[in-house]
Amino acid sequence: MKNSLFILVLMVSGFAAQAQTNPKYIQTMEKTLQGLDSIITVEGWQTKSNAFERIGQKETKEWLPQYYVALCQVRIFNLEKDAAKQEALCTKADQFLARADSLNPNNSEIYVLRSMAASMHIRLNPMVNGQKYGPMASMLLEKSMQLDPSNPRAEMQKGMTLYFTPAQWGGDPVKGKESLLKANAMFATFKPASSIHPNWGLAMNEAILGMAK
Amino acid sequence: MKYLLLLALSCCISNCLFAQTTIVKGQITEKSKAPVVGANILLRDTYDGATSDATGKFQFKTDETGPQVLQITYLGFDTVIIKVDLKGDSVVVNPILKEGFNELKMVVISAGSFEASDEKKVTILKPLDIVTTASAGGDTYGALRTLPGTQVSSGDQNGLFVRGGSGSEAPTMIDGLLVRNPFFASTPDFAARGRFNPFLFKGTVFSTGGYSAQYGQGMSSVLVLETQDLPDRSTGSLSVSSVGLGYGQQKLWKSKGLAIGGNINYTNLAPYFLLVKQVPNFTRKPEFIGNELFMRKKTRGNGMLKFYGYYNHGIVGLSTNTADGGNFGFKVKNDNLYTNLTWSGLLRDKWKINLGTSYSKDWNKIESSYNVGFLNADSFRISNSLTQIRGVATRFFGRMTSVRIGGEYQYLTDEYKSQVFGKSSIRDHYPAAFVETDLYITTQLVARLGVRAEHSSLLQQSNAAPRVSLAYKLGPGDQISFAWGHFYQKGDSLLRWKSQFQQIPGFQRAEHFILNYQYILKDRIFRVEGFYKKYQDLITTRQQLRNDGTGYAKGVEFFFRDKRTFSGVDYWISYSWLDTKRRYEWYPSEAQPTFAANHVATLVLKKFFPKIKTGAGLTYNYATGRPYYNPNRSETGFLTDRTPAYHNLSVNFNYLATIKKSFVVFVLGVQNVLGQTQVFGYRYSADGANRTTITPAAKRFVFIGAFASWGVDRRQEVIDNQ
Repeated sequence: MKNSLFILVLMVSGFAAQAQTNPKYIQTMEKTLQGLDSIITVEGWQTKSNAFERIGQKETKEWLPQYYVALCQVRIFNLEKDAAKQEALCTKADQFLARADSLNPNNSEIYVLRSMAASMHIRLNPMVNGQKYGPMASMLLEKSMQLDPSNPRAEMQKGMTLYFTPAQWGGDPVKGKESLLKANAMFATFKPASSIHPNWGLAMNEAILGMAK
Repeated sequence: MKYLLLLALSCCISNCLFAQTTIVKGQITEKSKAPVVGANILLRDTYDGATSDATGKFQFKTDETGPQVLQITYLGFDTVIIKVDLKGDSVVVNPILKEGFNELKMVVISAGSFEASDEKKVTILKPLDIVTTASAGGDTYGALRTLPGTQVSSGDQNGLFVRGGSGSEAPTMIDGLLVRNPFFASTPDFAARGRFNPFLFKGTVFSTGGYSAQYGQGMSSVLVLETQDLPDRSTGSLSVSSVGLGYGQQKLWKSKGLAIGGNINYTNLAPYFLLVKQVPNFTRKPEFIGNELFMRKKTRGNGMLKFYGYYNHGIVGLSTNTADGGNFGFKVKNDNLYTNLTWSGLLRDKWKINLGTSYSKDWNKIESSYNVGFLNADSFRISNSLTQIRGVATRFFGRMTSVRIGGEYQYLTDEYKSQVFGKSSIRDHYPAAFVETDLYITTQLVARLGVRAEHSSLLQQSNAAPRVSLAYKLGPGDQISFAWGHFYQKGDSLLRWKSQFQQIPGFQRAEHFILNYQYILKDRIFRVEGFYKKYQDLITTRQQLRNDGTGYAKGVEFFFRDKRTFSGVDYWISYSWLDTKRRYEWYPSEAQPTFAANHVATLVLKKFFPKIKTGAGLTYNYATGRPYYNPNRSETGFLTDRTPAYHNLSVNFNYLATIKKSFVVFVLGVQNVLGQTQVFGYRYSADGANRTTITPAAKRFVFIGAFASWGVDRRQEVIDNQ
């Protein structure tokens, strides 16, 4: 009897723990996050995006799946050439970021990604979208840096923006490279809040630094 | 004890131990049988699912049991939901995905229509193109003259000359409301610019024929300008140029959804004319002062209330030698008022309502002298006014199909008071109603069917004009369109005919047939359009006033725009071939009218040099000679002479800079850089022995200016500090 009571208590407490941290959620996320930084194809990102979307529709209170879906759209956008698809990717990224933001307001990581999504709108049609999304991208990035000055992805985004923006719109390749180097150093010391929190970008940052040489 | 163990056991069973596994598999395809790669297949509210592979196939295992919902999503396609019952073994599903709604993939009516818009994706031009085209000189009409179907060598008369039509056959609308006097006051033989600042408009639809039943009273075409909505921020602007000064300010109250602003502009060509010699002697150098006031307010029901008011005072006078050896003097003082109040919004989420009212008035005080003797010097006043209301209700069915019902009422007055000829005036009550549908039969095929009915109290006539357009999408980027319709128009000199013949002529009519092929892929546009137009009931004025004039116009036009081939270079080429004849007004027989050239070609080139922050533009306009009247010819030789061909090379440079917190553009523009002689026609002496040439006032026109704008809120600083 004592023994079985113990079993019962164990099981009940197990359920309770599951309700709080859900090891299956963590596990699935960890599995999906494997190899994220080394993907180079649209198909690769699409598969990850789908997996995060599946987790997101199950774990409706978690902001990270929504965040990662948006990240996948940003990365696919960079590889996509079809304007109609790029447009759809912008819309999808915006949707998932809005959801992530409502689940976890004032998060530095979400703000970096929102800034990247705004830059996508500009690249889609610089003449038309530049005036609206240019200032928006800068404001979002500024907010991200305020929320977490040690976020290497924010510094990287700053570097990329400065590096790729034409000079007359405020770009500066020299300052851009400085930021990218600074971001590299920040990546080295960055500690994510958990195994499933954002910890990507070093490979991307190094790739751009390679171009900047 | 036993009971508890059982309980524990059952918990384990349901949790994981003896779970039943089902395999879900299948293949995802489009309607065309093409595999859908990368689609997301998931079991709702579970982690289970898969991504379709390169052949559209997928497979996954799940421990779920019983009835479940399988969801298949793919970007740009409609989501498919399938109910499945999982009881071990395997479940096979082969869903077919249907492409979702996408503006870029929808067929649009393109016959006869050029659109410049930021909001719509499939457009030929962007609003910014209007201000960066070298030959346009910042004038909307100048930019439109680089499109096929328009005449480029019409520097002697106001207006757009579209496909064999005169300037008065191409009316301008702002937010659906007619503008009676869209051009600045002008003197004979010198065209004036459009009154309205291109930055006021977020969209421009220029139809070169076969246009919507929403609009009337243009035998050739309509130009529909759509004013801006709420700005993103409060801004100020200042301009200093070789021809004048301008200042503007607009304030945005974001929380109230309200913006109020105004502009003041002063133009004076006296300093420029001192430096650059002009051929007629300008006894009064062109001088204009204008004010604009606007208000935009968001209202309930996603609505927008807009007011726009414009007032301009201008004066210009010249004196020129005539072929008879005399001297012709002309001076005009013009005052122009234009107001426009519109509301648009949704009614019960099903109807889109557009309401508008406008009042405008134009006053001209003219003094003319002709010192040869048989014509007297005169001083006269001409004024006109227009009061109008307009309402359109649009009901949407599904995503694209819609029905529009609307009506408008215009009250027009024209007055003339001369020392020599006395007084005369006319008034017209003009009601019109229309109904039109955009019927999407499939996403590839759309039909626009409409009819417009009009009545004029002055003409004592009514008409009904049917209009039809069809468009069919052939592939991802190309489509074919057809348009047909009847287009009625009152004569444009009714007051004159009334004084001369004590009679008012009836409606004139044009019938359009247009066939268009268009190919648009990112950064490249090709289009070709053929048309045939038949004129009927044109006004003739030989001895008697009649409505028995006839005519035709036919032609083929090409347009090609390319932003891709040469890195950083955007260019377009237009070519129009036109064959037209008409018998109207004083013409003895059908002849090619004086405002029509047979071949017109334009090249527009733009390039931005990021390193020096400079944009450069070049435009080359070419047109074959236009017919001119030579009194020495017999009636068989009527209008058979041609002016020399027209050439115009224009260049412009824009240098972008940031000074303090403001964004400054320095502009240098030169029209007719090469100084080629441009002849628009000739004026003969009474005996036909001598003639004078109608040319621009100076060979070249040089414009230098600086435009500064600044955002009053902090956003601009953010960019600057980055």
